[in-house]
Amino acid sequence: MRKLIREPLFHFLLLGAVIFFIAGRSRSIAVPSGEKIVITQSQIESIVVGFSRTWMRPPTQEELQGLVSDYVRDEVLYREARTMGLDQDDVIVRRRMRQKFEFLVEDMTARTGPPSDQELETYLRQHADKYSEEPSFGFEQIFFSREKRGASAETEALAILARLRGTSRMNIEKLGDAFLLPSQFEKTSAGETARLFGEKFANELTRTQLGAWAGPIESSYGLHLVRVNGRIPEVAPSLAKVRESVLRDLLSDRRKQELDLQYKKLRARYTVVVERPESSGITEAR
Amino acid sequence: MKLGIMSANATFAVLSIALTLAGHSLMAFAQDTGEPDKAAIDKSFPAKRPYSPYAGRQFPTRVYWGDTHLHTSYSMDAGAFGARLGPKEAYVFAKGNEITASSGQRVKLSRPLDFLVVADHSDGMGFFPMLLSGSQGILNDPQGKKWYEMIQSGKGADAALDIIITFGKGQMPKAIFPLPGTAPYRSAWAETIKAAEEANDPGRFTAFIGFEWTSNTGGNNLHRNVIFRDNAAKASLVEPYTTIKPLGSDNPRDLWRWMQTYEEKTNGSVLAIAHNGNLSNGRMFPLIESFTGKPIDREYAEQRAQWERLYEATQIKGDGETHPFLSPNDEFANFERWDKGNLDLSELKKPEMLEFEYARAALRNGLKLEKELGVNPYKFGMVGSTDSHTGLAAVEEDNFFGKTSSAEPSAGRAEHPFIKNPAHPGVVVMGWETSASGYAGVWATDNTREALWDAMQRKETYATTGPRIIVRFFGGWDFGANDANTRSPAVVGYEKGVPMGGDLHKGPAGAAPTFLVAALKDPIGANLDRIQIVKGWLDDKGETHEKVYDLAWSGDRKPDPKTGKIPAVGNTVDIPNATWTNTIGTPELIKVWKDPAFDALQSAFYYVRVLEIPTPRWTAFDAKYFGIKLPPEVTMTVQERAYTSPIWYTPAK
Repeated sequence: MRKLIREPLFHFLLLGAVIFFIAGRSRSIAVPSGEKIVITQSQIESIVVGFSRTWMRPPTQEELQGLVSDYVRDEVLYREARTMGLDQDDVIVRRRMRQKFEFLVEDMTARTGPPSDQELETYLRQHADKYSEEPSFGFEQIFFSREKRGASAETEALAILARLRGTSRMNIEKLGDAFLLPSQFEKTSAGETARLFGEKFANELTRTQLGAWAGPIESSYGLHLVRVNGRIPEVAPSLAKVRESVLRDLLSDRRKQELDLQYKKLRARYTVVVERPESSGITEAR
Repeated sequence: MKLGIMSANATFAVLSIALTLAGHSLMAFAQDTGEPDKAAIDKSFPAKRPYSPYAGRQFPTRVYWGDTHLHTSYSMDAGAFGARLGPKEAYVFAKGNEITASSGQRVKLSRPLDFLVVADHSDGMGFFPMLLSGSQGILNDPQGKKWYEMIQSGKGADAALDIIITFGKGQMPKAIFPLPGTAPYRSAWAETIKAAEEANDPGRFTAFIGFEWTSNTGGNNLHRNVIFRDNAAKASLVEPYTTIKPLGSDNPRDLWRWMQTYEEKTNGSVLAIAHNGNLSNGRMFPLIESFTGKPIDREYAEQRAQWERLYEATQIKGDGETHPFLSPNDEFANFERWDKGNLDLSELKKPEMLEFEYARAALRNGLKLEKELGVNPYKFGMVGSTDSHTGLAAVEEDNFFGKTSSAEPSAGRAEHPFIKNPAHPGVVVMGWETSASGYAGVWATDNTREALWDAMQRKETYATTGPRIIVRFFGGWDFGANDANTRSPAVVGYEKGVPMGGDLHKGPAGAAPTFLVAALKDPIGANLDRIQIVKGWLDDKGETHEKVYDLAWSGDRKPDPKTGKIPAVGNTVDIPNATWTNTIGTPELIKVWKDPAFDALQSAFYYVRVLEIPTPRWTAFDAKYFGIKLPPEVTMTVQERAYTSPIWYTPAK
């Protein structure tokens, strides 16, 4: 008995019996015997082309015979499986069908041809902030530690600020508290400043008056007096510089739009009823 | 040894002629100016630093963040586990761009990295992209055809396992396995180089050329990452060194020989970083070489010290600083521990193996070996890196994309076994045990291949388990308490001492070494708990010791009168919500410390460990996001940390 249980043929027969039983119960097998499977000349040609593509040569007579038999086998099982409804409620089949449909639509968009320079330019202008080079600053900073100075950190920073504003000559490296980041930053992008000091600090630097000491402003570490010595605003790049990303994004946008458009058209053909308890709040997103 | 040198010899001839000519003219110049006069020369070097504190600063003012160890679909096992992102995508992601992971999820780093080394396995490099293409060559081979069809029919995972097992047994079909010298191999290496060249953006982002040499005989991890300082022109002259005989070897001595040959033939520069000693079962830092059964000799020590400048002390497959068995008095030693066996769990761990697997114990044995052999083979600096096999250097706790593509975020990944072996059915490494770690911090003068590589070569680096904590560490003979109040610790640090990775030799009579240590929290991360110095030394009897000192800590905690240790910082982690608050800890810590138990006759090393306050571990973020409940044994909080390269003290002979 043990040996029998391990036998693959036994598994196969058992599985067959189960399927037969289920199918028989739900509806008697619906493919009437005698149904025709026709292999057209063009189907054979496509089989040959498929084979040649991987093997770089046409199949031999024997191989072709095998391929056709396999195709028939595919077809028989496919039809039977469909009749039994095995494609129903199968996530993989549904996903694949949806994917094929979407590929089809995407294919259609691709056929409209590559966008012209004019279109790319327009797209770039419409999404300028996405491609523009970040603003950057040159600045100096003096750190005041809340850990060391406690509640008086702010008033002490303000006192130093007053002194800095009163005189032009003070060695800033002697002011404030010990700090691991440099006191002078040459051209540093807003993003990098944010990475070093935090978003809030970087935002403040876009607002402070050029060339004058200001603050104290808050970073992730404590308080800082800052002097912004230079500011390079956002630069809108030329198409030549970002052409590749613009092209990629434009095409991806187009595909999305086309998909949505097609979906809306198709969706209009259906009435959807969502059966649900009133309280669940589920509606169909349109 | 496979060094596909093409026209290097010709280049060489030209170069050496040029150098000889240059040498002649230099000599002539020296003779024309007469004997050098010391007083005159002294004048041309300033005795004092210039008035302007900014002038003449050559030292690194910025730490650069990166990953020295990332696999992509070009690595055989990564491809097998579903990685579809290649080197090109890996660089795009590291630069901070949003991309689609192999699992179909959108992913982006909280902040860009400054550099990245794509280090794919040299053995079988590019095998998967080739297999997936279903090319003629693959389909002509029965084994290749079988795997290809398995993948096509949705049985990728089974194919992957089969491939890994076949590779482990050394039974990969020759016809389809990319070996150095074959066209597929050359093309994979060329693609790797091309991706690095295209992504490299000096000053903004550094893309290193590199590979992993994956010596893994018997499942014992002796892996090394090899990093080139050079660009395509030189790296293209060779193909990566592999482990499969006869072209390659699994013995690190042969790798070092290959590196030496590369440098000689191309005038280029390479260094190696070993990793995961914790899975080597006592073979990573040997006293007795596993290949010969003999004690390591001076040549081994010299070579290892020369080529293996850094050690990857923390990564996804566990933390490698130290182990509770080795450091019973260190209450932070039990951290992200992987000590069940070797890499494939074919051999279980025995306690006596541990000494030869962990960084701290290796640093200690290094002092011992230095005394015996005259050279310290284990004089390495520290980095952390990911060893991720997804093409994604994503190891933030709230943004952890796992070790393999099949371990990218999903409700089941934490409870999925990560390593199991039928030989030991009761022993399993679970998915939740993978550690969201680590990154490398490099103190370099600029963000270029040359500057970063040079910093690695001088070991001015440190490891973190993920957060971007800034750490400075200087050693010298006359740091005073006041130096902790200086506005720019780096200025006084470089003036009076050596940075992390440096050496201290004979000091003034009766003096003990002093250290300036400072740490700043990750700007978007958790506060700091404390900074510590770990000291290891060799006593007069030839025995090594270690001690952990608390240097500076948050709040007004007092040392425990019995143990002398600073009590735990507390815990604000809300596990169900995966949040914490910075209401405990401190954003910055700085301290000058003098070794209270220094003996000028004993060699020693010192490195810094910085601890964050506890934060939610990636498992807590998973549980919250997927709405799952994980078993009680799953660790849900983590105390992230940084380890610096040591500073060594060597007594005068």
